[in-house]
Amino acid sequence: MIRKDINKIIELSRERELTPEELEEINSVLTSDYDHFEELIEEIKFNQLWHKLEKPKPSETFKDSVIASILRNDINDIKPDSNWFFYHTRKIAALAACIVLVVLIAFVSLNKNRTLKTTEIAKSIVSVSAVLQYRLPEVITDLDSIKKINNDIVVTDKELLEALR
Amino acid sequence: MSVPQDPDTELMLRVKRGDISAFEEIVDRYKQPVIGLVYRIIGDLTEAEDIAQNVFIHAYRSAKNYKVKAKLSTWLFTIARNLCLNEIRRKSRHPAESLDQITEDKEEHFGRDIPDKNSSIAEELILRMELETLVKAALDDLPENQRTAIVLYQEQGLSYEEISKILGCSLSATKSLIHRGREILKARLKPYLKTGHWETTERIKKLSKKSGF
Repeated sequence: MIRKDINKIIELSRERELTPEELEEINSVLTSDYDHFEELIEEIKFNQLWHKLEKPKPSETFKDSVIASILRNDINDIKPDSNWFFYHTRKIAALAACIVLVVLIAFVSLNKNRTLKTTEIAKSIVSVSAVLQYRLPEVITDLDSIKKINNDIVVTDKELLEALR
Repeated sequence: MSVPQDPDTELMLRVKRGDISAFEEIVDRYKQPVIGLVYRIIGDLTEAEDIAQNVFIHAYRSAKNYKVKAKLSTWLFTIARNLCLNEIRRKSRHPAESLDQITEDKEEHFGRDIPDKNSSIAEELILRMELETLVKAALDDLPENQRTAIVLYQEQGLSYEEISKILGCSLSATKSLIHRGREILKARLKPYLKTGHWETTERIKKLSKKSGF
């Protein structure tokens, strides 16, 4: 048997499980007086051994789980990009309301020659922020009340909160 | 270098364009080989399935950066190997005993389920179980890169070139890695390769005859 054929058999034994007929044929062609007879048989057996091993089977839901994970990730990825404004509406509204209120307070105090103490402003901002955080929808619909504040001379924390409520 | 003959490349290019059905086809084609490789490296089927799922999720996320440089299988196996290495590193940092492992150990201690004596495939099953255990034990003793190389070569039928790309080492280093690994395994599995049967199987046969199976 020439070396080329032997290599071909070995390569074939690695690629797939040989049929009993093929193994029989190899046995009949090979002779024990061949120099590397044992080596060759060992090599074929070693290659065949891998085809006998059990192949782990994926679960039936494997593909569905992969696709579901991908789609879930896709949705999470899309949100901030395409609907960025919608996604951050609450934060933007809260920030805008805070700015408006600070400007209002400053405007009132300047017009009436009455300077509000820094602590008062800080307290107002903290109170407003706290309210905004929990009562944002009401705050937005109550813009009319906020507008009224502009006409008042003195704005106290209590009035401000009442207006906001 | 482009690989136009790889039929999977076209599928991956479709995925790149956002075609999810093409990706489903890829998952169908490669779920078994990927789980097979991960299972041989990690040694736990449940974990292997989880990691294999991550392999495909990673592949999908990287699809927009996909360039036709190698076969798709090579790319998937590379991702699989990297995720396995991450898992091995994570385990070595936070070693924990798996509950499954405890159950398996107990089962092994009290003896495994022996197939029905009336079943015609009982002997075949015992043989396969033994073979599986011995090959697994022999593989587990190899270093990770050698184990991966052997599995890719023997079980997945990859070429030396493809394996060298997955392992990220030279062609000659890959050949030598596989050669040495095969020699070690052959030495460990010598009894089977010499006779074609395990010594224990012969013992089981004799016991079966005695007990009238």
